[in-house]
Amino acid sequence: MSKVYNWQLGREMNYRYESSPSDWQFAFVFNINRCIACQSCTMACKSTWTFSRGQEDMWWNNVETKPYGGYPRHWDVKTLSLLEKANPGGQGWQTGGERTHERPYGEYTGKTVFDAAGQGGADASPVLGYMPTEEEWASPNMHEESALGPVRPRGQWGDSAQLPEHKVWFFYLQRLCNHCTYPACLAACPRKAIYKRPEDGIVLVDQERCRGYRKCVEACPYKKAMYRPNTNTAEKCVGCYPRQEGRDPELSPERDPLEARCMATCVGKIRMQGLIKRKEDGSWARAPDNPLHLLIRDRKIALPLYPQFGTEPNGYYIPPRWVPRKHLQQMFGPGVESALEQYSCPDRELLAVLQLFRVTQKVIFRFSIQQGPKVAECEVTMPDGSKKVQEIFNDTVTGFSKSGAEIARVTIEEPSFERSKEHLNSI
Amino acid sequence: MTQRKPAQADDPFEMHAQVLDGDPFLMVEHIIEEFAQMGWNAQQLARLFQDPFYQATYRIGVSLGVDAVLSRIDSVLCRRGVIRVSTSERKANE
Repeated sequence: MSKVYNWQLGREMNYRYESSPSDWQFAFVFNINRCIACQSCTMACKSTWTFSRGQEDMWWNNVETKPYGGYPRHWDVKTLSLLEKANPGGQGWQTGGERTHERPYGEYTGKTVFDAAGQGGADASPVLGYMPTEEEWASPNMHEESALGPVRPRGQWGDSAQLPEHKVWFFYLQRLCNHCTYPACLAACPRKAIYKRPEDGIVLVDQERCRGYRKCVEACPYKKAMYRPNTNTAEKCVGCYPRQEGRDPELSPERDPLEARCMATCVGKIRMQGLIKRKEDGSWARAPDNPLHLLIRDRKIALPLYPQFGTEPNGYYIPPRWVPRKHLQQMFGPGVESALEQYSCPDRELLAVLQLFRVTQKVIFRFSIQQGPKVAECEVTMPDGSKKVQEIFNDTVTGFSKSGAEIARVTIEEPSFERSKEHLNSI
Repeated sequence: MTQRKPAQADDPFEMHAQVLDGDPFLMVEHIIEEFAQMGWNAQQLARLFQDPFYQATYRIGVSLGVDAVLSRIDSVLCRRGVIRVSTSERKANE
């Protein structure tokens, strides 16, 4: 075991290999607040990569319903339970003290999947994990919201089947491989068949070396390495690497990187994918004009999923505003409160950058904002239900590609107000 | 179909549940605000809560009732407005 630094935990941790950072890192931000589970991302991935024999139950991208759904079923609860069993009552965060760029959420004092492993002697797996059953892989996102009632004509409302159901709140969680900085799948592979590409940090399985031992399936805490029975190998999300390399002559004749298929097809405009520049020591190079860097490291409104697992995942989420904090804190760590506070009433810079979601298929490496006059004040609902006034400015945000060319431009305009009879005089 | 018997506390196979806090009206309000921020108007928002294809919002509509949801849409758009943006994307051959 080596000691590596995990900035999401604010401390060093055990890992099987030395840190070997990539030049760039594939990363993404998902805004959970806007997802309506249309599954366009899921189908885009399926029709691109996993449409063959042996891949029927394989969904590299999936959207599941929380708090009760999951693919495979209960994947997160099971891993959290294993960690709790390994370290009863000790899984927590020390949030006091100074918050720095390399320690933005405080310090995690519990055990990661690497810390908690290896208690079974020399033959023990280097990662704490479990193997999902076949049933748990079947039927992703089927009947997770409720049992379906009869389909009704458009505009007609009615009840669904009468089964016990949770009526308080729920939200959709969009998931794919996090292309972790310290991948559990890579650490667990007895064949060294899994590697992290030095150019963009995408984690791939060498199909020649893989013998289908499924240690990666067992180890990945997010359960995003999957087994294909007819080839007897493991497969996983490849980050649409040909698109990251800009190898689509139709869409990118300049060879600028393009976002992955699941990102590019998001009709809800919840997804933004990018490439993050890393320094030699593995830390993120400061880039305040990179939209992902701004959302993740500067403003910290996009948070890692289950950072306590310890793999330093590179998928980040803007948490849903309506979900009780305790649930969100377990899922996204201690940064939730500050993230929601900022997101609910975004200032002009944040509002401008949020407009860049899904305006282009090309990866945005840099943005600039041209400031305009103030055009409105609107009342917004804060996470605790209180109201706050948000100022709207006629700003224009421009996105630039890797080669520095302008690729998209969005201007925020004066909002329009619709008032019914009851609210005609409510200005 | 098998008749389900009443739950008994000493049955080890009985389903366990955990009570979760939360306010469904807060969820509705936030969702309406999110989509208003993306430029959706009252008609589009109402459809979001009526189309069974969108299970999340459809279920909210069914649970809370059509009048309650439409009234929320109305009040949110009245104070929040619909954010408008103009977007231009530079195509590969431009």
